[in-house]
Amino acid sequence: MTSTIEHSTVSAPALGGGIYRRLNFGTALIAGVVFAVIAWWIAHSLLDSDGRGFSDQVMVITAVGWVVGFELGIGAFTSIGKWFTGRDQTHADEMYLAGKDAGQARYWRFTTDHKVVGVQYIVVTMILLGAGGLLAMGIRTNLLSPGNHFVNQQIYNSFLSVHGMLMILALIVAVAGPWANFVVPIMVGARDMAFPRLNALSLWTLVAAIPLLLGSLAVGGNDMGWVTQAPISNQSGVGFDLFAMAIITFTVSTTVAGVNTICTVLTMRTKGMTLERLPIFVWASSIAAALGLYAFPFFLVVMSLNISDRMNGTSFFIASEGGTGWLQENLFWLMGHPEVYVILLPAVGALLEITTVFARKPLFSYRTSIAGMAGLAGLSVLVWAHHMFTTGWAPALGGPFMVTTEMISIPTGIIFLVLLGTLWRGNIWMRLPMYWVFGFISNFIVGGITGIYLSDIPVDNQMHGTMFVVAHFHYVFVGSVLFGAIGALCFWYPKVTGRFLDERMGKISFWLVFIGTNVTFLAMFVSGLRGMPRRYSSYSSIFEHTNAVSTIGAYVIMAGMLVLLGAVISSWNKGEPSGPNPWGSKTLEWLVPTPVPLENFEVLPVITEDPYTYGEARTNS
Amino acid sequence: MTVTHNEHAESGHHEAPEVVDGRQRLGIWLFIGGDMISLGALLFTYLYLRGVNSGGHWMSIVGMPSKGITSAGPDTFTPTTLVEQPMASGLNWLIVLVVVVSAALMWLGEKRLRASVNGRGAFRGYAAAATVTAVVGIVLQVMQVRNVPQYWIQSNDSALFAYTSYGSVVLAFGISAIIHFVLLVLLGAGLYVRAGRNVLSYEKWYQARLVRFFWVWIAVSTIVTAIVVTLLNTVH
Ligand SMILES: [Cu+2]
Repeated sequence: MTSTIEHSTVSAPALGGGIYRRLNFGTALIAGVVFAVIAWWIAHSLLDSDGRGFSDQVMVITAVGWVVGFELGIGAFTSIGKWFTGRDQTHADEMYLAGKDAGQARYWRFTTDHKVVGVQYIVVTMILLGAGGLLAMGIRTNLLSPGNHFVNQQIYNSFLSVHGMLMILALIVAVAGPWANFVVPIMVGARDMAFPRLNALSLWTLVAAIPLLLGSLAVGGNDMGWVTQAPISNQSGVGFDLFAMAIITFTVSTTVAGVNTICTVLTMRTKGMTLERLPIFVWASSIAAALGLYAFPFFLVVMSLNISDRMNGTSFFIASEGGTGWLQENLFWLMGHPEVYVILLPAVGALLEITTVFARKPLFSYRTSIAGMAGLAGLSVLVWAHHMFTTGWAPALGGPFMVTTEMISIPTGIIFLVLLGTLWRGNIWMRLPMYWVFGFISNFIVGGITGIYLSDIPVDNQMHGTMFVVAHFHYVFVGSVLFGAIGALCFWYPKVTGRFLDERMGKISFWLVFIGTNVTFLAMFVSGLRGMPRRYSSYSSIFEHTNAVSTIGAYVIMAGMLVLLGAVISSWNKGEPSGPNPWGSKTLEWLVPTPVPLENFEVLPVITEDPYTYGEARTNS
Repeated sequence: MTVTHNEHAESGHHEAPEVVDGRQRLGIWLFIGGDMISLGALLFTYLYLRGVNSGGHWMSIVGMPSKGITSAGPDTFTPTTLVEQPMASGLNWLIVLVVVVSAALMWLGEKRLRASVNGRGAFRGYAAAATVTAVVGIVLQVMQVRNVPQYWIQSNDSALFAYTSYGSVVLAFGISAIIHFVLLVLLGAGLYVRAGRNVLSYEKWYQARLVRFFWVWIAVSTIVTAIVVTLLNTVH
């Protein structure tokens, strides 16, 4: 199109009276608390007046008040209101929202620039990991020795539930949040995400969910584990209501984010950026986003039905009234297994990206790796009942679900081969990001293979509900996904800050986290093999030594993560300057200046070849 | 990656409306896709609970009818096994009719808007009618939700309101429908205002189609739900 430049002469007018331009995180907190208090007061006065217990209703309404107030206070509804009244945003409004010339303040606002959102996601991820990590320390300290009562059993159970869910949320956003936002639009040659305001909405909706999750601990906690198993979840205290409302809020955030990622990749690519030329991380993020769109509605529904059972008198999961806990388990795992790959895929994509750059080789079998990821996503929706082998639900389906679960090791193996093939005979540059790749390879072998054991029904009958399962999925989530997330952070950190992440501190952190992970979870495998049940706050003295080892290992992981946090903070302003492309990478995000300008590209690039031409003679330029 | 500069790249970063529309169309279909999964999860819930008929309680409950009892609960509790009948399907199909008419009005309005430069006034009429019809849908749906039979049951010495599992899912369908109809009303009213302010017009009609997609999907989801709830309701 031929465009006009009329907007460039518009001076910034007030955005609807000025108040909209004074909204930030502080006003959001204030509005959230005020609305929560008002909602609580109204609900309490109306419902509790006749002495009957409506505590669940009051808690849910209070949570809704918090979320609505917070979103109003951050300005998430401003543009919706403007749409509704037919006063669309001007270009000046859009530039204001994008954070033009706003300096540091834009990080505390409803800012639409995808790079700001990416940085905000880095911080949110660190907060989630930090809170979940502290709870993990509490759990491990309690398990240091048999009969140790660091916390009482009710609190211990709540720690388990909230640790689990905080970490699941943290890992869902750990790679997709920061990097599908910060780098994917640049990678595909776009000026921003497809829907910048929805991008900011997804971030701030996630932020709104966190106090609900942590708040559930403050109002008595919840003791049903992160899987919110009914009927325990129906009998849990009001802490469950906040827990479930946090998840419902979170599903809104991820759905919005997933739609945005897919639309960005499918409709915002620059000229010549064909699907075959997309960097593998873009594919990984898009497939994960699509899988999330499938999975998270189940999360929304299962939590809504659970709340409904608690406050509306419905009986979805209450066996005495016609419901069944199996329904809850089915709905939960219809979400729960695909979600594992929503978590894993972006991390794997980032690690593949790192590997091509530091092995100075094209990605080994690009198409195969895409097929592997698509295969993972496709199969992952057909395996959910492997979480229910021992529940007695549909024994006849055990065989088919065992087969699909074992089949999923094929695409997983393919992706693993792609990673090894890319390393094979590469000229490997051992910088910090590569450490995490090798750590991933080692850990993911353990996490993956033990998953195949557990998919086998006779073995699962023995292992289900033991610490063996906990060790397995921690090898996947900590040993693999967290390693991918940290690798991605080390890799793209220079693009965000213009500085290297401190290499020495980074390597110290790597060795602490790597050794700590293996110490903690190898010992946990042994606890599990000896029959130690999961989720118990105390145990027989025969598990004493392995638990002491696991606890020490967990402290080592924490120490490593603190060193990493120190490196992230200290290098942000004082790290060694990196220049725009310190790794000699060929994907687009490294070819723009650092710091990346607003709207990324002065002129949109035209792409003429694939992104992994390392070591090949240039045929054109 | 080799890069050349795009000679004809836009200077002001403004995109053609069709380009923006294409992106928004994909976006709305993805959201509808997510909504379809949610509906699928509720349909799964309905068919699953009916299929297992846990404890024979798909349409029966041990308790007292709630009619005539205040919110404080009954004075004396004499629970018996109560067998429920499927809800009358007339109101359900009336809601379907109302929502289908509402979607058709929106679609006709969009057609008029796109047909001629003078179609804006007609569009406003259709949008207003579609919105009002959706409000009627909300009213009827609230009536439907209130019709779902409630019972008193005894639990730990106290009396609680409860639904059978059949009633539970019908209630969930109803609440979900109300939430969706409220969205329709907001979108319809928004289009009405926007057409009045000329930001929705013969040249800029795209948002009318985006809203229509959603409207038609809601009509379809209402039909699917009604078919399942009215045809497959007795014990399997
Ligand atoms: Cu699984």
